[in-house]
Amino acid sequence: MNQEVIILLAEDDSGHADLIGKNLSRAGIVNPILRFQDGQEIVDFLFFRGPGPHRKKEAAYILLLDIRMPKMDGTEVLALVKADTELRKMPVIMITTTDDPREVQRCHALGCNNYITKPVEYESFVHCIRQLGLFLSVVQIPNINGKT
Amino acid sequence: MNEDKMIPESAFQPLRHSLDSITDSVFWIDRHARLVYANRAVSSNLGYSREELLEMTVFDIDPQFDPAKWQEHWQEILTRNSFVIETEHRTKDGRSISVEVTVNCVEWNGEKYNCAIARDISERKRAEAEIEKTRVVLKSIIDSTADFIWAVDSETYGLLSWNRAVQDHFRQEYGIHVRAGMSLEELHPEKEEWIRFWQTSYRRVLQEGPYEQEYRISTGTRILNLNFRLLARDDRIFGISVFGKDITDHNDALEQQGRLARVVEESRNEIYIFDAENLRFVQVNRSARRNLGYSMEELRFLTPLDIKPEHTVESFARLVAPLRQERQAAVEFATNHQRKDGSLYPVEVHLQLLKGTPSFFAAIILDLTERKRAEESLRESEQKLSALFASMTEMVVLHELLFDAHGRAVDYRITDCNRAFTQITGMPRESVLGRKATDLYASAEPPYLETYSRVAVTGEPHAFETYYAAMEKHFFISVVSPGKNRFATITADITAIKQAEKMLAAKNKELEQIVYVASHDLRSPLVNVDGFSKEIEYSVEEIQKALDCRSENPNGIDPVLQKELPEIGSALGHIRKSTRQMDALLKGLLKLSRCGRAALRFQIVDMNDLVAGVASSVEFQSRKSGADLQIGDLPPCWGDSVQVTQVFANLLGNAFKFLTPGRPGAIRIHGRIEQGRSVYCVEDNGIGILREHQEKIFELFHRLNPSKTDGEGLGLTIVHQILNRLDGEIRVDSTPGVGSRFYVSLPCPRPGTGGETKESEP
Repeated sequence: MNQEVIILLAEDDSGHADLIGKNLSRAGIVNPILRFQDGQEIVDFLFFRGPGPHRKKEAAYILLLDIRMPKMDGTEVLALVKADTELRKMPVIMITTTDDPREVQRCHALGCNNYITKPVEYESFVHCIRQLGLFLSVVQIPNINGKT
Repeated sequence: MNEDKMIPESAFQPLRHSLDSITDSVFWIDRHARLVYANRAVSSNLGYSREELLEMTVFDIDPQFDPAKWQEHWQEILTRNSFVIETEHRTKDGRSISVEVTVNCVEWNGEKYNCAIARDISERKRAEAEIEKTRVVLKSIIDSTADFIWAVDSETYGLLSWNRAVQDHFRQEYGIHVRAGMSLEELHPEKEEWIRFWQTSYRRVLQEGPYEQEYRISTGTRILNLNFRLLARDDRIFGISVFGKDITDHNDALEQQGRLARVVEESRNEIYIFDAENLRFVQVNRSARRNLGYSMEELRFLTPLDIKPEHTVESFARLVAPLRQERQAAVEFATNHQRKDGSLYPVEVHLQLLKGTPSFFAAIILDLTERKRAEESLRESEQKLSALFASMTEMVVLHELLFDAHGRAVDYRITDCNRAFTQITGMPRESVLGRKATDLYASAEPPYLETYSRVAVTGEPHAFETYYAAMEKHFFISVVSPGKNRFATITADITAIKQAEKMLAAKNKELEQIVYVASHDLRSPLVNVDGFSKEIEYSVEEIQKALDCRSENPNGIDPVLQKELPEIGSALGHIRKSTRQMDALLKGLLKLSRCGRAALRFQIVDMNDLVAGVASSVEFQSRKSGADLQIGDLPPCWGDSVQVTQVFANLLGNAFKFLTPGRPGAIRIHGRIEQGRSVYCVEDNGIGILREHQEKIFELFHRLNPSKTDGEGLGLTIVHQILNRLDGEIRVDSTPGVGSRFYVSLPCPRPGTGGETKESEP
């Protein structure tokens, strides 16, 4: 994966964020990871809202999005992203503990690029994140402003 | 008279003798209608002398002519030369004679004359009139009969003549206007069988002569036909005539006798006919024979006394005396009949005397065994049904449909109703029976008329649910039809079921949330527990490896420990946090489950007392936050005080919890009665809730901002659930940064429920 690509991780559980980070680096993904605690924080970042940090126009991002988060949940964030003409090109991968088929279907309908269920069992969890790493290493991330 | 116009007598000399010898009158008439010659027959026919005639004009002897008409006639003579007219001549003594006049235009000395030859046709006219009169009489005779009379041509079978009965029959039954010459095909269009029938009949009468035949026409009428040939004077057959007589009634009378005999024999009642003199049975029908066990042959030697053990010759004679003396038309009495096997059965006898030669007694017997049993069981089932009808908790109402002049159902009338109906509606039975729906329910359109009339007309039962706003009740109405144009409604109050369904739906939603929580919120910490345990394993492996290599590299262990121990520490921290999280979740679920199972004690709740109690319990919190709490006058409500306390404790707790830091808090609780419900408002000037979050705050374990406040995200879920059970409602009205208002609505205390309580099962 392009070295400049920044991984945005929206995950309210710090433990999960920690585990995802550890395993991505074990899978050889060394891109910078920006962590957001809830849906509101990532939306503020992406849509230049609030006083916090904001995205850079020229940077390429990939978004790993948890679904159940306080304030604003992942599906709402996904809907906002996919409704935005600029941001819709950014790959969004849902990472969640639910495997409720309705939830999965809703995310696909909204246009998520991939959907990963966090398995409780750690070996599987590691395997999933490795797979994600593999996916991230081959995928071409478009620049949000159109350049690749 | 103009002399030179006169025709000299000599001119007729050669013809004179012959003209005078014929009986037809011969006139010569000039253009001025003057008679210039008349033969002897004219004199004898009209009574004038020849001299008199020669002084006369046509107008004198023919009253039908006048000068104008003569002019016209003369012109016709000149153009047509010769033709025949019918007119009348008047004799000298005033008689009128019908004449046929042959007009001939002749010329003499350059002058034109009319040589008219008149023949007396009075006789012919009279004969014609006679024939016409006879014809009219005959026609009216054949037309006045209801029998069918007609004649057809023997060659073509085309219709020659017919009477009115035939004409009316064809017009009324088939809309056919009968005309002369109509063929069989025209009289019986598209009725092959009739065409063949008549062809066969006509052919037969031509070949074999007159014969009778019987048949039935479409109207069911039986016809006896008499078919015969029509002969001309020379005995040549020119036609066929048919005389058809309606013999339906005649045949019916014959059949009726047979039918009556069968009715007697087949009757379910026992019927006995016995001789009035020796009382021996003459005829005993099958029902009687079967019940008694005797054959007809045996019965011929028996009398009623043999089967009526309670009667003697004397008592029976006394019984039938009023009949014999003709004081009564019939006698009725009850007795027992004895069967051939000796067994008895109760009977009711209707006895009549049929006078004649010989006279007979006719007895019709009702076997009361069956009737008594039937009456008994009918009474029993009626009792059962009426008890059921009366004691049913469903409202049962019987109706009959009412129709307008066009046969459309427009209304219905109540014919009966049960106690449940009068109790629930509060309308006494007497005021309801016979009333029309439009009148009773005071509506222009009778309720559910279309549905009800469909059931009443088709007999297909139907059932539906409906909500009656005026009574705030849900009903399940089942409609059945006990007979044509009648229907019964069985109405069950399903309000409680509906409420239970609503409750069930809410419970299902709650359950769904719990499943979601189990699949996500409980799984989430497990991911951490398993993940960080594995991480600790990795660290332990690293440390183990360093320890194993200690002999070769004694200093290698320190950096490993320095790296791995903080990792282990952090991992243990995550694991412990996760277990605490799970514990909190499980406790929350337990709490929720407990609050859903708590027994409810409904009573009037004094909300001023209740909220004051809640306020004092959070006094410490309010003092700490420095917020100002104001409580207005609150109306009472109907509910469970423990549960209502919980609701307000949670709401007030939240109000304190979500105050805006750095701004003095102001919390108000106020309430009022609104549309029959007690509505309370808990109002704060706290951080507020975004519109898109306002729905979610009542969801299980939903916390908008977990890091900033403590609590398991259950407070509002519990509030919501409690209110569901208390028939209460909650809604929120909030502006971020300004504050929130939580409105709680609960039922008002019901009138007449002062202090009494209702226990509710958990």
